[in-house]
Amino acid sequence: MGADDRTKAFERLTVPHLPAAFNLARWLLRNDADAADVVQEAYLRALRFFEGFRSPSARGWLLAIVRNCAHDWLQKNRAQEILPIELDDDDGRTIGSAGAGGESPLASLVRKEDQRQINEAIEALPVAYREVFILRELEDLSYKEIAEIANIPIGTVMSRLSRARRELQRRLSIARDPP
Amino acid sequence: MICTECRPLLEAFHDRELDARAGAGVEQHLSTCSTCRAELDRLRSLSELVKKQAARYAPPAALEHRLASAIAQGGRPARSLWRPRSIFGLSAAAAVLALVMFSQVGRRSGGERLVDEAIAAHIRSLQVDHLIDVESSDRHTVKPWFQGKVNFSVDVRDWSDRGIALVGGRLDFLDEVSTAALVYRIRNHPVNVFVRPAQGVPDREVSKSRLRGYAALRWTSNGMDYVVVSDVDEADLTRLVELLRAG
Repeated sequence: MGADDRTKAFERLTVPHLPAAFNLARWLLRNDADAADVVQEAYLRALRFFEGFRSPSARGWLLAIVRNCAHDWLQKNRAQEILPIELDDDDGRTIGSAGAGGESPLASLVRKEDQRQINEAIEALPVAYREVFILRELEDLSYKEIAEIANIPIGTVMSRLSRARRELQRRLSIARDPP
Repeated sequence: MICTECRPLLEAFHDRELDARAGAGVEQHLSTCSTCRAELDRLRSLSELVKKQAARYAPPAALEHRLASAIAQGGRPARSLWRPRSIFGLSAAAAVLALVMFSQVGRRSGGERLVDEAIAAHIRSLQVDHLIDVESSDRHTVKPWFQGKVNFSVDVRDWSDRGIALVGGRLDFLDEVSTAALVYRIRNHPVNVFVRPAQGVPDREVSKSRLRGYAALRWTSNGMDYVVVSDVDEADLTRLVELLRAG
């Protein structure tokens, strides 16, 4: 394959997934400029590995590279955000520390439909939980696809998704019956 | 199905990840149980809220141009002249090293990971047409099926007369190692018995763990790792383990 053909084939395969790639990077890095840098790095990395591309899903392949680049970037620049955080299951403890908070329960109840609050609640999840949640709820990927992108067992996808949901239900006042 | 059986499946049901049989069981339970229905409603409320309200960040217009020129540069034939510019200011080797070191921090012990993988494989096996590769209650059919698929001999036995019925076998992978999965049914609950060579670890006694409503019993004997996973009563599972260990 000539260089031009190769570039064209690469663009045909990857450019349609730019919105998903950017959305994932933006959710993991939480600002536009860093997300754009990481997406560019991911596309260049993808181009380097393009010869070996055999995956059935270009989107999954690209998102896995975006996710790895985002983690590398966080490791380098904001390592405290990706320290492994073990969550306890049922004690309703707050997970993560960044983002939302400081609002009275009444105010948060009144504005529980508020978009900003939802975004902040998701951003406040630790990265390991946020990525699984975003891939499931916004990209509509299956457990298996998420497991491949995040390089974790399916059981871990399920437990992280479950805890992320419980935490968001709590923060967004989607009431839960006492167990 | 009762609540304690329904709850661990509810999220997979909501995410359309259950096979038809398990899905029908959940639906049937939901039609009679308002508590589980309320739990499902809360899952749906959150999903709808997020799908409707959470930001979907669109790529900035400039990014596509930046990419196009970066790709054109990267696609040049004289690629030896093109130096990949790492935005991290970190060499690829150092990045790999950092990743490896980081991943060690959060790594669970090999045993826990094996159990975690076994439970994930069990859940996967419950999905459509995934449970069994070779369907047979005859151990003389199942045993030879594994020959040439795994590089160890699999001891296949059946205890239908004691309520533990062999239904078949499957090739699976735990931690990327070829693993024989023997499938049994006990009072209609599927049971996976995972067998693979222990990687140089000494024999160990049976240990139990529970995750998401599934029980896993694991042990190592004669150079083989065993993990038995099911949602059946632990007493039934223990009985199967005793039979397997009796040799």
